[in-house]
Amino acid sequence: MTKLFTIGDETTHLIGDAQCPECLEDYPELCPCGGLIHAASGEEDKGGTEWPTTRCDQCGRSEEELD
Amino acid sequence: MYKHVLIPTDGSPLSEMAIRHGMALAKALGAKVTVLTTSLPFRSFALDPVMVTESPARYEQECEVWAEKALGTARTEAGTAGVSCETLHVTQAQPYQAIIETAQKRACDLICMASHGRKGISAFVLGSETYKVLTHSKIPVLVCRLGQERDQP
Repeated sequence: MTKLFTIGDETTHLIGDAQCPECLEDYPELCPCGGLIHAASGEEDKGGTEWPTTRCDQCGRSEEELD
Repeated sequence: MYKHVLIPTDGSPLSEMAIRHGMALAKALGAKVTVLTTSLPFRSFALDPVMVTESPARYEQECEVWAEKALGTARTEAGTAGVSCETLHVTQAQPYQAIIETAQKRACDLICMASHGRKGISAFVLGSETYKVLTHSKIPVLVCRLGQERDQP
């Protein structure tokens, strides 16, 4: 059975699914830990642009934390 | 301040806006510009219909034609602005890596790019390649938004 995990307010991302239908375009991506980095829309800045928020379904790191 | 601006383009209208913005900035600063466009390598198993239907040689040819069109627009803008400009077409699976690597190799000190590319121009969410460049680049990044141009004097 597919397990779900949460990014931001979304609890519909599919753990281990490289074609996760809930992810933003071009995601999930491979994480160095072997998991998948999923992406959802995140906070909106003052210009009205929403910034993606990302999280690995294994280690929990965001893309920013990988550098 | 900034001496060498890298402007990535995917040929989209918003990229063209970023080119105009980057050229104007370079002119004001007396900086030179490198304009970069990227193509994905040919893959046999791909969702892109162009890759599915074409041979590798044909695909590369199509990419060259497409890149030349995008870069030609940049050269025209550079000529109009009177800015020193080089253009570059690279093939890489991850466009954001090509952008960052090119900026590093060419000692660019600013990346000027659009908030969205061809795939996400109508989206409210920041484009994925722009987001990745912002996330991974150690070089300052200037993001041009949709609607920015009409706000300029």
